[in-house]
Amino acid sequence: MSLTARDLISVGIFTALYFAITFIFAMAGFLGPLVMFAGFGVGIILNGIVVALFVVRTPKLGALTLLGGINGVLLILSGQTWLVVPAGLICGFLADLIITRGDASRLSRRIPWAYAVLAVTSVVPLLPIAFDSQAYFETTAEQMGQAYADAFAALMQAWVLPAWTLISFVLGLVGGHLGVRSSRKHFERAGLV
Amino acid sequence: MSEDITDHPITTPNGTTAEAALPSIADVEAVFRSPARVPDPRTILTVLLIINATVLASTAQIVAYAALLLAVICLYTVRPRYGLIALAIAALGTGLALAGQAWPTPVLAFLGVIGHWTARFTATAAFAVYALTAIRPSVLVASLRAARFPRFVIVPITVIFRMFPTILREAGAVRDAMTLRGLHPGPLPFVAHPIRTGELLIVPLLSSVIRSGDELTAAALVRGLGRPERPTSVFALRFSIADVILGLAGAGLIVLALTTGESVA
Repeated sequence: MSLTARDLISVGIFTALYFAITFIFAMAGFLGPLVMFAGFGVGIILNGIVVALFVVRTPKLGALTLLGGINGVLLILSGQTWLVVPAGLICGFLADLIITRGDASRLSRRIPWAYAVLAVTSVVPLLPIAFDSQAYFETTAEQMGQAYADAFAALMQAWVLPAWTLISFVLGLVGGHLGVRSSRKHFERAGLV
Repeated sequence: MSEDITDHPITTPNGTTAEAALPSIADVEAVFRSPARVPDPRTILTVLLIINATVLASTAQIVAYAALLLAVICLYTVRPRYGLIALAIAALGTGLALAGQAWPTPVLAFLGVIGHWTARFTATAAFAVYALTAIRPSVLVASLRAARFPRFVIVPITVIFRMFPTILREAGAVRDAMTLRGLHPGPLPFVAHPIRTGELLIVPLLSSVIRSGDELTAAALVRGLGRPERPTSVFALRFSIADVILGLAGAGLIVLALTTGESVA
């Protein structure tokens, strides 16, 4: 069951939607770091609708891999680190495996888990900030005192990355459930599935 | 984004009879190349990756400044105002970072960190904006084909650039429809009920975008998108002096990043 030209066009359409929603809610980050995380969170949950509909329409191996990878390319074009592409490909492939391995009649049970794995990629754009801040604290430690810099650095990176990984996974599960529900409620009735 | 190369009359098959009617290479260049000397998309994308990898991974401050300079100059050649805006943002970020180091009070130190990475992301973002404004989608697709990218990369990318205007238009239509029904999709309800408001916006948006996407699929399949053969292009894809300059600048950035400071990623 390989991807046909029709499926590839579908990948393009849904990747454009996925990226547009991610980008619009990430724009809230201009208002401050806390708003940025809130924006990421809302974006993750709402993108569950996009991914659920995409999976129902194209339940093939490689579809989510391509979505994750190409979304990464678009994120590079918005100034993010290049690491988002390998991360998107890996998480997309894992999500693809969750979707395609198993009973096809119970697909809607697996969509939230697959999407949760895909949603974890949202932690990757934060990686350079963590690395970069470390370098920054190394240079400021001389002036501000080592203890202060250490405390601040620990607050900035020790727990933010694992915490966000966990939060994005949970938000992905919520978004996936929302997506499956709206897929049943709106799109199946409209004949779009 | 709107121009479609297949609509243009000069895509006549390369028979000898059509030769007289064909415009000269210079005419084609004049129509399909922007007046400013823009490097080949492949060069721009390579340098974009270089800036991305060096600035966001190297700890040396000089690399960030050099990349910023390159990005601002490039952006200035296509959109002078954007270039100046990027320069102003980067200057503000750098100023905050320096202030944080000079007067290490907690508030300034915190603002300093934010300013520090604002300046760094400005370098990558400014060059990304340059790439988006300088590269025309049709040229990008032609160059990806020339670089022999696989079909499963080219077809989605071709579609994505055609979809963004559609998404914007349909989102505007959904907003208008909501306003007509007295739902006022402003920022206030979004803050109060972000998920419910978002769902109200996204469900109709998805339906209409997917319907027009189905039509796009039919049209694209008829036009032969996704066929195994490589289509020809009216764009003359050649490397020019602009590619040499930009390529040397990118290579210089790599050397600078390797010689100054240790990289972490």
